[in-house]
Amino acid sequence: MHEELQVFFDRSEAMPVVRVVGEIDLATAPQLSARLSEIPAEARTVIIDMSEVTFLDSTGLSVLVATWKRFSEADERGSFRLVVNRPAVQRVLDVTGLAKVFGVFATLEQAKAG
Amino acid sequence: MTLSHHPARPDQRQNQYGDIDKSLERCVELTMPARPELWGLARMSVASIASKLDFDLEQIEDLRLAVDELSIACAKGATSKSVLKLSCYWDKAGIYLDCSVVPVLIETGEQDQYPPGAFDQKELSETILGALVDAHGISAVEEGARTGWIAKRH
Repeated sequence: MHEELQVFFDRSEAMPVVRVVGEIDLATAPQLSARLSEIPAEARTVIIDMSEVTFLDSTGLSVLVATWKRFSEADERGSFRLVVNRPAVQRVLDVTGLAKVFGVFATLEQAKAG
Repeated sequence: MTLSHHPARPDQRQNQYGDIDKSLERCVELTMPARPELWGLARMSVASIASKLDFDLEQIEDLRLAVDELSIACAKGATSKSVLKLSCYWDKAGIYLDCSVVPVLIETGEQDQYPPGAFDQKELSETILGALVDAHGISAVEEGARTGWIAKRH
């Protein structure tokens, strides 16, 4: 009925990678928001790997926007990168214009390379 | 939660979809608590109906998202006792969804079930709905219910 959201952190490399799995909607967006707030603002680059996100709505987008703002305010040269390879997720980023605001990459390797 | 299937009632659609084919053949109604964790069921139901029509995969994904945004818009101010009712009609031209949530008013002492800021994304939601469906509308609260509708044609 409702797919659980899972959020994994990988802090082993210079830039933190957050892997998100599942559906991001009104029910799960607060959970994502809480986990993303754990990323220290001083991180110069953060990658949100959304390649396993199967659904993203406006509440999930607003969490991403808030996180992006937090990093932008902390460091204008900070980088906020998304890994997106599902058409449904890419579409919502496209129609809202946020694909041009965030750095969107098709693979994690490309996101790391910037 | 109830799921019912019965012949469509043209009188209920005429005001909102005055230009559609009045010989609609089917209507599915979904009634459930207005809890976000259940809205995946609404998305799945509408996607299932759309898949049996002539919608392609991208259009079905658009409908899944549109149903979710419609539910969010109608649930603003909903409480733990609120009920969400989604009516799905279709014809040869497209698919039409009516959504209502009652009651939407917070009673004294009752806590809003949604986290603070849950509905701050109204502008994003409007942008998404405008891009994904052919027509949509969200009403103000009328007779204790907030209602909305979307129409997507092939």
